[in-house]
Amino acid sequence: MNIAAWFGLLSIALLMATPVLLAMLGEMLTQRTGIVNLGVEGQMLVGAAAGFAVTYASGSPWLGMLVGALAGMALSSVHALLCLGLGVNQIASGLAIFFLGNGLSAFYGAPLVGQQISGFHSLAHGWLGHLPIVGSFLGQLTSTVYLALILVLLCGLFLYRTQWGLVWRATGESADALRMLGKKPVALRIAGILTGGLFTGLAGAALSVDYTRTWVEQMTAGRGLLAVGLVIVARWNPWLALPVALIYGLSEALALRLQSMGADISPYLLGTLPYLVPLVVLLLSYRASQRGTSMPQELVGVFRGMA
Amino acid sequence: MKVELIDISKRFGPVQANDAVSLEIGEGEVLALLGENGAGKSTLMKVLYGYYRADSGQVLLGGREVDIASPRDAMALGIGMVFQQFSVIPALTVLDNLLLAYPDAPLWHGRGNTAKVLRLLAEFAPGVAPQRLVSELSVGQRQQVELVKVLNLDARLIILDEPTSVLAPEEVQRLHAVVRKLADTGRSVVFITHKLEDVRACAHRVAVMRVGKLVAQADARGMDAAKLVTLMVGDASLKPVAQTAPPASAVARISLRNLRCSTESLSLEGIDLDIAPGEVLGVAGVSGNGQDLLADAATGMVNLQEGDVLLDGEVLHSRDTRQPHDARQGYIPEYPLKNAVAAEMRNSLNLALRGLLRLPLFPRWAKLDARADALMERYDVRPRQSGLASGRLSGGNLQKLVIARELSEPRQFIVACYPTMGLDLHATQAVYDELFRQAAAGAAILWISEDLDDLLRYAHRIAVLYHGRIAGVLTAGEADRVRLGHLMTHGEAA
Amino acid sequence: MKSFLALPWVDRAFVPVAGTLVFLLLAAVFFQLNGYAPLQIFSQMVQGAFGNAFSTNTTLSKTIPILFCAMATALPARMGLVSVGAEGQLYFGALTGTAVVLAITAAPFWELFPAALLLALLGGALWGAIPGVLRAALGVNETIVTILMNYIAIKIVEYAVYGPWKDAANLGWPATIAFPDAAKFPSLHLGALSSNWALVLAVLLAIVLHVLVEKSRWGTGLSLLRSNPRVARMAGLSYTRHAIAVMALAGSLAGLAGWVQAANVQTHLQPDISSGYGYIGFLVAWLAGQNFLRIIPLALIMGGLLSSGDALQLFAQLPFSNTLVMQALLFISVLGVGAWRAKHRSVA
Repeated sequence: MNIAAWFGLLSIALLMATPVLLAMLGEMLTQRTGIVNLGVEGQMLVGAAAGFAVTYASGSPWLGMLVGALAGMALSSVHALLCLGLGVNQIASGLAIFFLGNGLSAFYGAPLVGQQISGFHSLAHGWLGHLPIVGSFLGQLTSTVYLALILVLLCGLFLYRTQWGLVWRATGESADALRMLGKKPVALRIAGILTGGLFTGLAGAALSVDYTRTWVEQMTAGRGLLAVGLVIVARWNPWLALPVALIYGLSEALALRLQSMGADISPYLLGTLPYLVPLVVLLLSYRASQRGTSMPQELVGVFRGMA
Repeated sequence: MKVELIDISKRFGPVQANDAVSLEIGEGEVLALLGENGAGKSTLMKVLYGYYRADSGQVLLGGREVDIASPRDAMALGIGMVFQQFSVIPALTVLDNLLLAYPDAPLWHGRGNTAKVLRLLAEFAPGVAPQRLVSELSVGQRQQVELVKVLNLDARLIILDEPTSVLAPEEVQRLHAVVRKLADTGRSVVFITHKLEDVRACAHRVAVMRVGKLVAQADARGMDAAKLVTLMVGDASLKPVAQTAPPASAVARISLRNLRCSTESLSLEGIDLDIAPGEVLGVAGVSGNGQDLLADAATGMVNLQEGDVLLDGEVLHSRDTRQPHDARQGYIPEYPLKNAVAAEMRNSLNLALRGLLRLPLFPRWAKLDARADALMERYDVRPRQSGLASGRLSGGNLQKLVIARELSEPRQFIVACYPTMGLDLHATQAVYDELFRQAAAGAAILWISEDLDDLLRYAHRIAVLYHGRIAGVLTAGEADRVRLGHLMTHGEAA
Repeated sequence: MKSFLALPWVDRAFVPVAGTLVFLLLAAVFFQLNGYAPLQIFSQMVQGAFGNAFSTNTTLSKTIPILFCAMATALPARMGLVSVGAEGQLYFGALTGTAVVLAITAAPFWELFPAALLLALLGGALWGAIPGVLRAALGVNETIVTILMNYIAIKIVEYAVYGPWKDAANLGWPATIAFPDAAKFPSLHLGALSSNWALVLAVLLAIVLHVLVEKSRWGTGLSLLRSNPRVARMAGLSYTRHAIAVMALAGSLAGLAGWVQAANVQTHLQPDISSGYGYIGFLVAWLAGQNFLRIIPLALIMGGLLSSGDALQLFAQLPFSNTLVMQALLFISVLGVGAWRAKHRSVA
């Protein structure tokens, strides 16, 4: 493949990675406070449904994205209520959110199935697309990709360069230490869950409003779960979120590319790639991520099923 | 400023942790708060620090009554506390830890504006670079960072909660010097401890607590050690623990040969130890040098990468076979609640653990309960309920339960890892009695302890663990605090 | 009030009863907000579940896979493993069983059925053992792995029925040839009710597993492994061996469900042999407190819920997806009430 073809593959990979990237950032922020939220899938679904519905009704994709994000946040508040307010096991609570988001999005999204929207304006014709050399590549990317990249930057700077980010990180390492300093880990965890909800709702909206521009029941197809797994691969580090999300994006792009090249492999088998590749990468890096101090210490018990 | 605690009382369920305690701490004074485990010293100071709320009583600062509702309030009033379980976060850097605790920390961490947090670092934690992760620091260094954290808050009163229990002798001396320095600069220090040498080294006054009450206060300099011990412990009806005779034969009962194993954070290398029947081999070392891993390796609880453990010449554990449930072996691990029992399961099950696989497919639970009742009676475990979840037992009773399981039958090899940590003197004695009774009957004992005094008193030989290797083995005759201390901190003989 | 709640029968009934009440309240709110009369819907639900022979048979038909999948969740849960993989194990078991049917299609019942069933069990066991191995050897969280493997299993089945196993006579409809009667569970009739022997098998297995888990040394071992794997080692129990065995056994139960769905219900292997039974089974197991006896009536109730969902779609124009919402609300209600109760019990 020549350079243009590589860039083409990369741009498709970025487009496909964006929803997962946004979901990863959200779950990363949540897990950094010591909470695991397996309901990401459900939050993405309500974000996708709500975002699509609002865009369809109002014609404004940005409004749709905003409402999608808020819908995700609203659903995540149930997780906060269950596991922080009532003390429900985090894994069970997250799965309950998954089911609820699945059900609500299917129910309210039913009338929207089969509808189409036009989504964001293409950037290929704007100033970005007219830049020399990189213009054609940059123009192929959509507004949500740039939004995601900006959010990566903001998350990284927040976590590693601000006082609030430091407190945020400390909450995930030792709630006890925070209490001894007179701070309230619960408040931070609520913020963690809600922020995660905001990002994952946004991720779902990016999927339906920007990428597919349609709505179908269960359209996220496990991307939320993958995001949870990939957060571990990215060592809870926003700077690593983009390359790791690209692993997912490239698997999907590769599957598409192989299919369109007329390869003799069934599209369904190729369809296992976006799950298999991240899963294998997760397995390879799992041991390493538990070694030393990569995993926020408060999560260790949760992942072993004990919290 | 003078601090006064007046009639402080605090109850936790059935336990009266503090019973109308009144105490004064003067400016620039080092007060040693002495008492054995469970006396209520920590609780009292945690009330002062706002971590607990007293049920009744008052706190006066400089004559004015204050309400300390949280550690934040305490810090604002200039009271700081260095806990036994450090609250520095290992995954973060030293700088991050200091910033975290700093009330006026800048919102944005640029290169220039974080300098003020590091001012006292060079003075009180020499050799600790700000960008290092705390997980890479030694225990002594972590404690230093913890202290700097507290000093950064302009603390005028500093509470140290059992700071020397985890340090080597050299580091202990360094700490004493720091405490004296703090007092010289006009700060007050409350030094919670159960060791007399801490009192001797740096205290101006000593206050003794026992079972929640303040029983005595005295000038530290003119004090009588024996009297203090009596005050700490109550009636002097403590029979001295029977010292066991040194082993008759030199033929090893237990051989640890060239053991090598590792976990995520620690590794052991080249461990070679022989223990004769009836011998008590003590293991000393600064905490974090591989003690619990050694205990686990010797009992077959972790994978061995190399080497083996022989019992009377035959292989007990090796790289290929591990038998942690072997009936000839007894194991009293560190942190019994986490490592020796399944906390949610009933006492009778936890007591029957070693024989679980020999039970029939459908066991008679009534018979197991009866057996458990008998054992709990014999070892005075309270409450005597075989159906109670073991996690509900208090520390001392839990350890008695573990001992009931591990030491009630004759064993040929016993590993005890910090078996008396957190226990009061009576419970400690009970543990030693059981352990040395087994030794007298011919068991080989591997005893890991943080208490150098006890090791020197009872062990036949003492090995020192340093960075996962045996730095040296001294006989009872050769061993003293200086030689052991040097091995513990330098890994080689002086 | 406190002494009333402390009565043993009240104590045990509190969470299920209060949980159900909270659920009914939330469900009623949901229906009301969407313009449906709650009481009417509830009564139509009961009608649609057990109102006549047809609906009862539908309910029983749906109960079978739910029961198996619930057992496939509860068994690992006794060891502390949170497996959500029954769906994928169901699909994979159906896949491997189908391979036998396609290989020896004309064989008589006593050859075909046992062989197909065995392969279905083995296929499910394999799909369950993989996350078990990963958890035991690498410590990878089994919840994430099992859910991802669900998606993979479905894709593999899609590959098979759109591709090499597609019946050419089907004109584009993705499914295999129709399964011969020799591959199916024999049917069972009781008056107007009709089901098949898989139902009896499921109930029997639930009872047997209940006895083993609650009363045997093996069951106690599982509880010990859940409570403290390290201490279990001191008793001579190997976490690895038990994790893999339990996950494989659980997987085979779900694989059995897959066979019932493929052979008896759909009579073909096709992409929609399951209406999310794996996830519903997970839910039932949790609601039952991982207790095998309680799973039986709860699975029946869930089967009724799904059966009434079909009816409600037809008669009340209520979209079938409302059953998904109902399940979620029930889960949340019972989780919430259970946790609240646990919190207040320890304080008292």
